[in-house]
Order: sequence, then C-alpha cells, then structure tokens
Amino acid sequence: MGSKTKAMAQAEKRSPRVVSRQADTPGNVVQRTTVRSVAVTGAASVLGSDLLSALEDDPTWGRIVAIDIQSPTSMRSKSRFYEVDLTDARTEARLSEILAAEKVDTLVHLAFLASPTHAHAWTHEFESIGTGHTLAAARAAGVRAIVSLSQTWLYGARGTNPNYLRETHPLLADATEPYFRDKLEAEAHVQRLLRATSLYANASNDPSLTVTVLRAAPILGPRTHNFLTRYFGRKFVPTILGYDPLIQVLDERDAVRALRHAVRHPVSGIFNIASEGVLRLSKAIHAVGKTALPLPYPAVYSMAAAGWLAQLTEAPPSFLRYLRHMCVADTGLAKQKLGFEAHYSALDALVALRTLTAPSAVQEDRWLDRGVE
Amino acid sequence: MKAKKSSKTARRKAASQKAAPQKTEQKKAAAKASPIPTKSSAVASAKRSSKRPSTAHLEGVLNVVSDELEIRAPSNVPMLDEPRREVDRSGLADEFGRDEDYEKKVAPYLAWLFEKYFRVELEGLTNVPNDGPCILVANRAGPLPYDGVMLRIALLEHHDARRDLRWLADDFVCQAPFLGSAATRLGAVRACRENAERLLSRGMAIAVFPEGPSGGAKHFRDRYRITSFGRGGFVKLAIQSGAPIIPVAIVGAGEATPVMSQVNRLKKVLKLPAFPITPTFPWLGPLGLLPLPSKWQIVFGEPIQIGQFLGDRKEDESFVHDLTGNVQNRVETLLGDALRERRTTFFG
Repeated sequence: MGSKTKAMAQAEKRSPRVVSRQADTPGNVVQRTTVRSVAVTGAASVLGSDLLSALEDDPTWGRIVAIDIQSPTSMRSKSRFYEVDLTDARTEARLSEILAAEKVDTLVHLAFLASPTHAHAWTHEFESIGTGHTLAAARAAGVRAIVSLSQTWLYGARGTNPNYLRETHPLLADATEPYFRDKLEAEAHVQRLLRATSLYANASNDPSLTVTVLRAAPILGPRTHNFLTRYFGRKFVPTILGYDPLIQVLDERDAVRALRHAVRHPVSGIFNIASEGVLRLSKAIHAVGKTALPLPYPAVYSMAAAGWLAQLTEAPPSFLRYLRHMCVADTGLAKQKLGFEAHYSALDALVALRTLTAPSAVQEDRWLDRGVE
Repeated sequence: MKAKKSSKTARRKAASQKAAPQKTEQKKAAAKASPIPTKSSAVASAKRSSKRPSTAHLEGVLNVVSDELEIRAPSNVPMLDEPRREVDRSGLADEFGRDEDYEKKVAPYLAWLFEKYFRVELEGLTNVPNDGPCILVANRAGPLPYDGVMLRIALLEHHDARRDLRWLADDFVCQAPFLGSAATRLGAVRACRENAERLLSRGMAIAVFPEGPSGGAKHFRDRYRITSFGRGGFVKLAIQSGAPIIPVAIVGAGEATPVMSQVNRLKKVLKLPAFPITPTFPWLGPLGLLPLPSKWQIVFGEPIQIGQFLGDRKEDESFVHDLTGNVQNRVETLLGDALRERRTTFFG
C-alpha cells in the first residue's frame, strides 16, 4: 500500500493541472510531449470506471482520456472527459481530432452493450458502425496500440464444440440475434485491422500498431450489471431439464486486470480471457445462493420468448443455447503470449455475486468458509 | 417516430446501467476484493475459533484489521497490485466436468454392475502403463455406452496405479439430455481432436472407440465384427504425443443390449444415430434400456509404441492408414481369442 500512495504522489507531480470535468473542446488542449496518454471509450461503464482508476494509479500514464456520453464517476486528477456519441455521423472526425490533440498512444475500446436490448437499429449504429468509426479515428490520429473488448460467447454454444475453444476456432454465435451480430461485426472490423497491421509489420519489421482483442468470458461481479447478473439474481433460476453444461465466467476484478495488463504490455493478437476453472451451471447457481428450477426445454423456450416480447426477461430465447451446451474458451494463449493469468476462480466471481443479493444468508455457508478452515 | 423513441429508451437504459451507485459499492468492492476471508466470514471464524484454546482467534482479528485498511485504500479498485496470488481451485469442477461427488454417489451401483451383474473378467491389465499418456483402442457394441463406463471402472478400481481413464464418447451421448451430463460426470469426454490432445498433454489415459456412433447401432449378428475403424485419428494422436496405443477387446457388451432391428424412420424423426429394437426396448419403456446380465471380459493387448514404426514417415497418410489397419487386426485377434475361449454368453 505504501508503494501505491508513492506512485500516486509521483503521478500527481507529473500532471499538476487541475482536473477539468466538463467536456473540453480540442482547441483548448495544452500540447504536452513528455507524458503518454491513454484513451478509454465507454469509460462511464463499471468496467471503464474501474479501468480509469487502475490507470490513474499507474505512473506510466500522464493523461487519461475518457470518452463516453456521460461523465465517469471515477475521474481523478489525470483524467479528462470528452462527450462523444459513437452513433453520431461526425464521430470519426471529432474522435480523431481529440486523439491527435491529446497525443493518445493507446486506445482501449470498451463501448459495447453488456446486455441485449430491443433497440436493434441503435445498437447496430453504436457497436458495429461505432467500432468502425473508432478504429478509423485511431488510425488517422496515429495511435500506436488498440485494445478492444470482445466476448467468448461469440464462439457460440454448440454440442459440437470442443471443451476448450482456441482463438482460431470460428465465431459461430447465432448471427440472426442482433446482440451477437453487432458484436461479430465489430470484431470483424478489429480483425481486419489486425490482419492489415500484422502483414505490414511482417513486411517492414516495425510494428507501428499493435491490435489486441480480448475475448472475455461473461463478466460477473457485485458491481457489474448485465443480463447474466440479473439471471443469477432471480430467486428461482430457470435451467433446462436434462442439461447441465460447464460454464466459464470472468471475475470483474480479473477483467480490469486483463485490460490493464494489455495496456501495459501490448501484444498483437486475439486472446481469450477468463477466470480460472469451469463449473456446472447447477453448481454455479448454488454458489450464488439461489435455487435452480429445471424445466423442459419447450416450456422454457416459450416462456423466454413471451417474456422477451413483453420485455419482462433479460435475454431473448436464443440465449437458451448457453444453458444447454458448452461455450468454454482456452485461456492458454493469454498466459503464454500475453502473460496474463487470472487471480480469481470462477467460484470467487460467483460467491462475490452472492454478497450483493443476500448478505445475511452468506455467513454460515461452506462456500465462503473454504478459505478460513 | 417510434424507432426514435425506442432508441432513446435504450440510451437511457444504457446510461442507467453505467451509472453505478458508488458510495456503498466502494465498501463492498473493498470487502470482496480481499482474498476469500471477507469481513463477515472473518468475524464468523473469530467467533467459532474463540471456543478453541489456540491462537486462531488472533488470525480473525488480523483479518478484520486488514479489512479495515482495505476500505481506507484510496482506489475503488483495490488489490489490483497484489503479488501473484495462488488461485483457490477448491469447489471448481474438473477440467472436463468429471464430478467426484457424483461418482462417489453412484460408485456402489456401478461396482455392483461391474462385479455382480456383468462379472467383468480382466486380462492383461498390466499392459496399461502406470503413468504417462496412453491411448486405449477398443471395440464398441450396444446403443448405450456401458463399455466406456466399465472400462473406466476397470482402470480406476483394479489397476495398480488407479488410473483416471477418460473415455471419448460420440456426439450423440454427449448431447443427449440426462445421459450427456451423467456420462461426462462419469469421465466421458466429447470425442474430438482438441479434447484428446489436451487430455494426452496432461499425461492422462484415454479410451477411444474408433467405430464411432455406428458401432453402437450394429446388428446383433455383427456385434463382434469391426465394420469401420475410423480415419486413423487415434494414430495421428499417438504420433503427435508419443503415447503408446493399447488394443482392447470388450466381450459381453454386444449381448448386454442386443440390437435385433433398426427403425430408420424413427431414427430420423428423433435425430438419433439409431433407434434400436432389443428384446426389452421399446417394449418396457425406459426400463428396456437396462442391460441383460451377460458375462463380460475385457482383454488388454500389448502396447504398441508408434515410435518404432515411425522413422521419417510422420506426414505419410498411407502410414497412418496402415497402422490403423494394424491396430484393428490386433483388436480383432484379441476379440477372436476371447470369444473362442468363452463357452456360454451368460455364464462365461
């Protein structure tokens, strides 16, 4: 802890300017050449805010550029917020102006929706086209490293999946589902850039741009709010009778650590990121302290379809695949090439989720006591 | 107009998702970021341990103190800079979903099936090495994978090294409701190259049934005839990993659930690899899936070290094909010998 405060003091010395929380126009920016700066899109999300504070603590970074439609709550001395709407047609020009003026050398692209919505047209603009804008702006502004978030669920849950999906496995998620289609398109944008830069780097032996794609397992934690935390938050959690797949999750703390690691040590490539280990779905529900409610597939399907139409449930019925079949990624490459290792297990993430929903029920439970005895 | 409205609500939704109630969360985040003993459990452990005359209660107090320190830490994402922490793997499932608790629960029934019902006789069990990767290649019979389960018990209970054998099951078994999760809890792994490579790289023993799903649908009169023996996937695995191949003959599984006939139309409608007609199925309903008490014999052959044949023909497809045929011959020989020795189906 002592080293942390020391690092912070150093960081404050480097950027003595007063924090400006209102949206700046690029014209006001003071040109600085000595400090490195990093930009985060989707900075107001829980993951983005956590990453901002992690980067604030890191003396490498003199300036953190937060990009979102609303100001992140975790802004400190080094952060500066720009209000940018990625669905805007003029985003690309504005974004590249900001990135160039702030001399951003690393861009972290987190502007993705964490849960499916009914506003399909808007999510398409935001995720697929917005990612295209962001990447084009980053190239125009001469950014040297891009870290983009993706999902392991894009591999799709299938009975024919191997138990551990490698990064080379094709992305077979249901492309008729808008939630996946937009994310698949966004990843296709990033992959195209990755291929182009790696070809160029091979030819010239100078990696002018590193592109890192982090395919994250579903992120869980008491601070995170997404469709999966709402699913596990139900008192009776519906599952499909006769199926009990192995599931993999990513603890929110590991998610921030992975992003920060990729920012510190940029390596070009695609990497699966997940917390350690897999669990049976039934055991995961038990770990969160809820009761599994196994129902026959046709019943669950019609309930989910009706619930989604009526906007009562958190996900469309095509997500039920993930309750029947496995979608587990192999994290070996991240360990080997990126040097990232998870600090938490899937069970840690699920148990932490339980403290949010039922703090009184936790105390006498064996799940929590395992570290003590 | 309508679309505009919905996009607005979506934006608001997204915004409300992002806006997190910070004040309470800082505390919670700090509490949960500590490695497992959180404040509440630490207090609980302090209460519990105060009954014992040890110094354990001090540990509880220390935990509480360190918790307090963490809450005062400046960042709301504390503990990110902690040194390398050993991940607590307790409570997690096995890498391939084998469930020890479940296996213990059903072990008495399976042991009864193994010893009293099928009266499995084992021969040449010492041919399976005590450690390191190896590939058992066996014949297949009967629509339900009793042979895989019995093979696993043979190595787990009767081999000197108590080897944790994983058997590769075809897609039908792994995807079937109830059967799929039960089989994977009992050590089945979906048969595919990636899974087999991973298991072998962990130094485990695996069992493959190269006849595949059609092996389970064989007619009664073909029960011990090997019709197809795959495309040599197991040979490629052996070349790659250097694991020895052990041919295995399983006698008795063919009579446990004898397939008298096939209903092809039902098989297509139900999307099954086979819809078998046996003396008891489908007449007795699910009860008809129970096996007949045939006498079983499992014979393990001499291990084949691929290296001695290999030389410089690593990439040679015809070599893979030849070796596949060689292994098939050995399994057939073992089967033939065992069948010749056997006098009756149900009494050995």
